[in-house]
Amino acid sequence: MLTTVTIFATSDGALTTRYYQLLALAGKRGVIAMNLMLSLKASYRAKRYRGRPAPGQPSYRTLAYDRKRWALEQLLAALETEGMLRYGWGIDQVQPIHRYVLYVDLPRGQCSFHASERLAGPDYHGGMGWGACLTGAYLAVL
Amino acid sequence: MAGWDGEHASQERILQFCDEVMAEVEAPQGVLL
Repeated sequence: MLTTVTIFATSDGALTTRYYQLLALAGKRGVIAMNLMLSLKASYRAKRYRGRPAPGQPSYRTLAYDRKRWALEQLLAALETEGMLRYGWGIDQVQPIHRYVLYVDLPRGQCSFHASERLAGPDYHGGMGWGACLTGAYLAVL
Repeated sequence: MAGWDGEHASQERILQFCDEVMAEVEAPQGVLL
């Protein structure tokens, strides 16, 4: 059986789409999970891509950031609809460009995404970085 | 949450959340990728 870590790392579009379809079967939580994964994959790639498809075209990095923005918009809509997870926007004073931070309090701890502009959603009113309870078992295999 | 440690922990929590949601889907329906 393929794991979520495998889906995170793969560039197999068909397999990833199938995974998203299965997640969506879990209802509102599934839609949130799907958009968290979309945002995470886009963010991860945006930080690593170099080059562009052809001269004069947007860089791969720009395309990945565009996809991340789209994914965050979908995530924010899902979070508003679901209404059970605390989330909202804060500011990372250390970051000169991607200084807006979307925080989402998942059941086992907080996750966050940096962005160059603030999108929809409320201010974040929780603490920063709570619930650091995992051990590195997930990403250690990448 | 700035820095690698925060980013790393954030990614792990997302992956774990996705795994838990996927388990909810797979368990009652016997679905495997």
